[in-house]
Amino acid sequence: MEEEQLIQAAQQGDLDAFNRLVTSYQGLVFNLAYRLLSDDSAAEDITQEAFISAYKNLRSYRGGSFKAWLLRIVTNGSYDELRRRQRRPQTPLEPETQDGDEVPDPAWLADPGESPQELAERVELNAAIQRCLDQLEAEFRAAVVLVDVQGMDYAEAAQVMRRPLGTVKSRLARARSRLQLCLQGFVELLPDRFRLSTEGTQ
Amino acid sequence: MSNGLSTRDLEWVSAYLDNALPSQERAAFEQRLEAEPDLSDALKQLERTRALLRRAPQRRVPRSFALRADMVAALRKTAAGGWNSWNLVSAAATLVLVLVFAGEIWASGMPLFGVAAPAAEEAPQAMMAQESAEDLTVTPTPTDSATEGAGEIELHAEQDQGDRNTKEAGPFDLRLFLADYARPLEFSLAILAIGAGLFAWWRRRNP
Repeated sequence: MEEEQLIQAAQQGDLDAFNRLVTSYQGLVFNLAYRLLSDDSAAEDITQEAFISAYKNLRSYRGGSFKAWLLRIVTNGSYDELRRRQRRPQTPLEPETQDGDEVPDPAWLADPGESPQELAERVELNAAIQRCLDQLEAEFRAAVVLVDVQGMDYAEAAQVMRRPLGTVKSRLARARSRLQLCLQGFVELLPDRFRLSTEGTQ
Repeated sequence: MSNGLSTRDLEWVSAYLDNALPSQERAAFEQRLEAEPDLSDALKQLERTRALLRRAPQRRVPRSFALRADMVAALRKTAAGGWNSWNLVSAAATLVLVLVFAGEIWASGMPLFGVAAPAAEEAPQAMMAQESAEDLTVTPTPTDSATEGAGEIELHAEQDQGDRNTKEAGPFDLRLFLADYARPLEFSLAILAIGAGLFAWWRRRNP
């Protein structure tokens, strides 16, 4: 069944049809929430809440990109969670390094078939990227996650963020620039093939 | 900024990288890239950054987020419960507020939907009668004797007292009630309608 047909069936109360949409998008939704919140369990909660909210409000969906509509729900949910955290800061339960970074759990990053060396490199890369993303304001983070990490185009990202195209372009450019500076600080952690030095590009 | 670039140049580099510059601007930017090594260096660095971000590992979904039938049933119950309680209170308060407001207009004698209230037709006559009664009561004519004047005042005072007693003991008068209590009633109903509506909205957002 095509996506459009699944949406129509779900709008008429067909839970199975809605759950097929959930299966298609849960990876994308969860990863967006994870990158915005930098917290595994919070991302899980926000993802579930986003799908519940989507089901409740499915009748208000009036066509267009279903993906953008869904990602807007999870982005707004993540912004709410970030605001809630600002009001009530919490101490993470995960172990931390001396710098205050969470020790990354490599279990979820494991990819069958890759060597321990490759896994270690990916864990390091992931930790560096997430640490730098965490330093950006929510909307800058959303712009760079949607376009660079999730591979959306500017128009889709603007739909998700409910911002004009020009605003998304500008936030993305500034976010990339700040990430570049931040990632250079992790240069010694990154494997050679990931380094940002200009020599590598020539 | 990157490599000392202005914010505008940085935006151009970023948009060029994503092939998001209009063709005319793109051509002009490519000319600048050839002439300005700093600009082309910034482009290469940003390209590397973007490539790195694109290699960010995708997190594996920890569980299925599919909705179960019991979750949907609970959702419907919550939605229905929400409407039946606070939304209903808010709607009822709003309805009564509108009725009280309409009643106040009716009692004041202003035409409501093109029909004047009976009070509006009776008001001028009543006012004239009241004015003449006041003339008789308060302003004795110079020809009246002091005794007669005093007796008349006493008589009217008794009549007024009698009228007040009739009003207090008589049947419920909606116009008088609205004239006395419409404003505080409207204020209370408005507070109730807004408060219940806000609470219903908050309950929907925080089930």
